[in-house]
Amino acid sequence: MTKYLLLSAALFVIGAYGVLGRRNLLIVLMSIELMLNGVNVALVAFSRAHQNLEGQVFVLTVIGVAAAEAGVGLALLIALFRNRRTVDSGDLTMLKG
Amino acid sequence: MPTADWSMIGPVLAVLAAALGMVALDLFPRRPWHRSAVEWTAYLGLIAAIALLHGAGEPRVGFGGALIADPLSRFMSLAILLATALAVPASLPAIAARGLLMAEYLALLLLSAAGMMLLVMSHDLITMFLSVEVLSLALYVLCGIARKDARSNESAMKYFVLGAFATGFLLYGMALVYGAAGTVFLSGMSDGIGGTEGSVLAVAGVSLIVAGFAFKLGAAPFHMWVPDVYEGAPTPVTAFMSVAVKAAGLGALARLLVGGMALQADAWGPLAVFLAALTMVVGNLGALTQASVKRMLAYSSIAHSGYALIGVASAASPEATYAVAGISAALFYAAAYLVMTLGAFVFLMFAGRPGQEAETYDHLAGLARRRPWAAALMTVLMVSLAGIPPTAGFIGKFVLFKAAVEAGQVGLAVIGVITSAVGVYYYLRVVVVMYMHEPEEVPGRKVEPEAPPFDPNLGWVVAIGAALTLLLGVYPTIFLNFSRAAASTLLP
Repeated sequence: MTKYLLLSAALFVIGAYGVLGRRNLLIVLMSIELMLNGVNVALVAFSRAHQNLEGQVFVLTVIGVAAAEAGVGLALLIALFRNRRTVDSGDLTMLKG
Repeated sequence: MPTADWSMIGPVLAVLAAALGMVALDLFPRRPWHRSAVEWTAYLGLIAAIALLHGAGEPRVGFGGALIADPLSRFMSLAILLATALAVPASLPAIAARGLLMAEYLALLLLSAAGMMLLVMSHDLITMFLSVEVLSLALYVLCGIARKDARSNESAMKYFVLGAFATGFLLYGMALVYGAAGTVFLSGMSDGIGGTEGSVLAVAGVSLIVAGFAFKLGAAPFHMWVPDVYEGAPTPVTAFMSVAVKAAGLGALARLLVGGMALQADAWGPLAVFLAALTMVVGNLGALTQASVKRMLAYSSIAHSGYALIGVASAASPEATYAVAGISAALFYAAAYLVMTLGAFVFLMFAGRPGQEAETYDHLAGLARRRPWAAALMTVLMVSLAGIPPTAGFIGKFVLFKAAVEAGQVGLAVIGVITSAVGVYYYLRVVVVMYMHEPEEVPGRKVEPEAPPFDPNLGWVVAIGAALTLLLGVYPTIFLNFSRAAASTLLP
């Protein structure tokens, strides 16, 4: 049980580090997926510990949502790239105050 | 076998049907009446949704415990539908001016509203997560819907990355709470977790969930995205998301914390106090220095999240009456905030001309002479946002601070009053600029002497916002009774 939770926390933290530390928006999108999958590991582990299926239903929902999220994210990225020719988050400086 | 009580989600289905109907209309060859057909599909869906809204009777749980229909969901659904119904006419001139696809835009708006209504009805963590995503995904696209506008692109990308990041934290918190409680249903959650002493899982889970919702509400220290996203998104989208997301998020947060985690109040109570205090200070100080009115309103919306969170913080009180008073005040404040902020954002379009909205204070200079009615309506909204009687903003703050003092959160009330005084400066600055400044002669920029053209629909939206602001301020009792009924059925 503890091992699974540690694995889950490790995946989540690596993903969070990727979102905060990397400037390439494609890698940021991948890191977000990694965060969600880290949570999935925890949900399955808890589901087994509690001997009920709610956690596994949750995982299936998360997988579906993650796919939709990736689709929307990539579409927004393509729209951004067409106008700005960059996928670097450091170049997003038009909005400031 | 869990029964499906379809009448419970009637309003959601009506809104979804309208959204899909609009997309379907787009498949047919264009006829002259195409635009009005799409427009009226949206209105029909919203009217049907309000007509189908469930009654105010006993709370009903349906769909195997996943959804609940109670006065809270009714109150919040009504607020969300009102915001949507005002956002539709406010969007039409912007759609025309920017050359956007009308059916797609309005369908996304309605899909987002459907997600919000599901969110305030959700009674388990899975449904809650799913509806948060439904409303967010639609909003990410709406922010970037002006595809050719680089500012809109940037706004959408920032919102998406930070929003998905926050969703990760919300989800992790939900997983940990599920681990601690052994159930995803709110009904057995509080007892399932038990006391918070020594339970790292429960405390970490609750904290992460609160952080995730704080992001959606734009509360400090998770507010960094708000000014950029609100500034870059098309103004009607900003108007819609700044009010509707907060109403839905606040309703869900209240249901989750007060309804589902009452025994864990010692874990989330201090967090809510911290968030409320920091958000009020950051929002108001940030708004002081803005040159753009749209950005000022974005910071103002951060500040108002802080005020609403006072109610959530007061609800951590073990005394049931104080908890009800806190949530009730927060819900009333969300409604008051909705009408005044929506009106203020739409005013920025109304005061400008098609394709060029009023953004800086200079654009508003001398507006009272050119457009006396517009200036008068904006004055009402600004006075209300500043919290001066006899407006909704004053009553909202009054009941919030009263609830906070009764619940023993005197410090929060004091911070609230001081930051409100700061707020008076930048809200009334708009009024001063409109009434007392002359339009400046800038070399190279022509000052238009004639009244600029504008869409009368926008004027109606601003007028409805101002009228409701005054109504809530002068006759608050009816609405306070609604919000109290919504809050009192929430407690287990």
